Amino acid sequence: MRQNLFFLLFISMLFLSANSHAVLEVEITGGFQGASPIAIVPFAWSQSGKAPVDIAGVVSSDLSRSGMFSPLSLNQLPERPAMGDTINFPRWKNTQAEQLVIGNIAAVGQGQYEVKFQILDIFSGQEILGYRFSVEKQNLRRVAHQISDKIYEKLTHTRGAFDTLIAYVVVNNDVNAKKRVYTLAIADSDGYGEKVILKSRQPIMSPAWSPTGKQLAYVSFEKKRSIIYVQELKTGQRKVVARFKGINSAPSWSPDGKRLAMTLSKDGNSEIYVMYTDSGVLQRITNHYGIDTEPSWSPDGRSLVFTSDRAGKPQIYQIAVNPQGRVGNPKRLTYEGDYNSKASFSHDGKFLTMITRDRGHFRVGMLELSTRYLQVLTRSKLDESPSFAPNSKIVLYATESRGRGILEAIASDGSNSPQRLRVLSGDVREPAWSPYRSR
Amino acid sequence: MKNILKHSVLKKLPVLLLAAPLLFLTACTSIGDSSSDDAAAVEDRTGGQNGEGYEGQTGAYDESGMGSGSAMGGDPLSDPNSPLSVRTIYFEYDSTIISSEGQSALNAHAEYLSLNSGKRLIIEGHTDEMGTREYNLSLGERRGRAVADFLSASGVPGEQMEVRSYGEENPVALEHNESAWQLNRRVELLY
Repeated sequence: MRQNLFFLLFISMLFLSANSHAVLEVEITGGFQGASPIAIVPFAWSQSGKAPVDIAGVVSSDLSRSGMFSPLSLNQLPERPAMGDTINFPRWKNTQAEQLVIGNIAAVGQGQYEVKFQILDIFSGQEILGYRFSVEKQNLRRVAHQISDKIYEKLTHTRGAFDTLIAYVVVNNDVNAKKRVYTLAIADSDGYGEKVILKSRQPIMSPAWSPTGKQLAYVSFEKKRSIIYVQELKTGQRKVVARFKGINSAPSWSPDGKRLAMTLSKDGNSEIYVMYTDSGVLQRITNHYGIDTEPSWSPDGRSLVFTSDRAGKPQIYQIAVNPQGRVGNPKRLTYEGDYNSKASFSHDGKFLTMITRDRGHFRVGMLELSTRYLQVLTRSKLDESPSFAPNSKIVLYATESRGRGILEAIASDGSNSPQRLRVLSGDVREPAWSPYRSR
Repeated sequence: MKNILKHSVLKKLPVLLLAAPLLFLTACTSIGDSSSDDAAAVEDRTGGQNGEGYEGQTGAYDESGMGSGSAMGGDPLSDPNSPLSVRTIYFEYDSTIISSEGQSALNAHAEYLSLNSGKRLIIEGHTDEMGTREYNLSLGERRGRAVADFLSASGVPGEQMEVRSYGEENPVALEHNESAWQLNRRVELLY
């Protein structure tokens, strides 16, 4: 990487909402072993007063949430240089940090801002990476997440997943009005910028991102029974995709976005089907009197994993489903314990995360497919809906704490403690992590 | 014993049979609109409760409910002393087996439905919160089907019944403990 070479990056973003109203907040509930210290200096602001977004604060929070980094606190910073300032590296060498991140934010008129940053190696004094962004005010937080991604990728050699979204369902029990309100919402991966997708007095469940991130499939009971809808996030327009007799449940997009796996009971009991999204043609995948549900695609789009209790208790099975519509025989993947369900693949296809009953409690499990080793990642009691980050490094899941539904995230290799995301009111559940957004 | 409705006691005290579900519902209606539907259904099973939200399908239920209002001597559905007043069948964990108390209640409903071919029954299956949501949605349906199969074997035509499932999505008790889970593992019979 050449020194002092900035890559010019113009961001044109069709982002959804600029309302940076914090509905979810992130609590770090445990420390991380082996996290590397990094110094992130508050970005210099071109005008008086405070900058519209504390970019360095968002980046620090992202990086510490990843479990890979431990940013210095502000009072540990020996100086607060802006870009272009002379840096007193000997002083930084006493801080334990290996890298220094500095940056500037400047208003350039008409609601436009310029944000630039550098990562410097404290020992050599050399620049490791530098970028410049031209951005509208409402996208400043998003640029902060993109900066986190750049830093994470440069220093860990893994693509970052901070500039992503999460979908989830919030349930508010209004005691006085004697009603329950369900909200399907999306937010940035740190919980800021919540945007409501659907509100209903009846249950909403199973949000599933399309591979482009432009649509959400979900199940809504607004007609007093389960119906699968697909909604365009940009326009809010939606359509019914499955309203058959019986249950319509558990939508899951194929990696190419052309097929939607789902659970229907129209032919007797719960079976897996695949719907071709352009034609609506249905292909039946399973045929068993046991419950078959919770289908999820392999990354190559050639098989599904699903939950079945055909052997008595829920276990994970895999079945080949090729694009020509041929279906193989189901193969059982889990034998450990008496309850394994809701599996989904890591993006390299090597792992499955699932819910597993461990000593009577429902916990997040990680199955390595090559060895069939099942690692239990959590210590909680009522975990549900594990969802991989698009870089598969973190699993987001729902659990219960002190009587409330909350979301937690944990490193996929179990190397850190759960980190809690919580809403200020209501029960949060059914998290689904979006795919990467286009760069 | 874990059963919430202690049927042997309640049989001796028919007044309590009505009072117990009502008390329970007063305690819980605060939770949500679904339970206020239930409250309406318990207090007056004969009509009206299906009006909101059932859309096109509601006509049949409402009509039959209205019709029964004019019957001589009243509708046994609204008689608190009738075995028909048992509208909730409880289940053990991960089970679809209908208890003997449940079976005797269902026998009364089967007889009623056979004699009243204009009546339709929605059989709504529910589960506790343990395990995953979509699996529980299917488990709730399996419970509903177990009840429908029982009624069918007792001579109730399929056209008079519809099975629906809410899985774990509509709990009547919100606590996260075994006594709440017992209340939530249930099939509700809605006329």
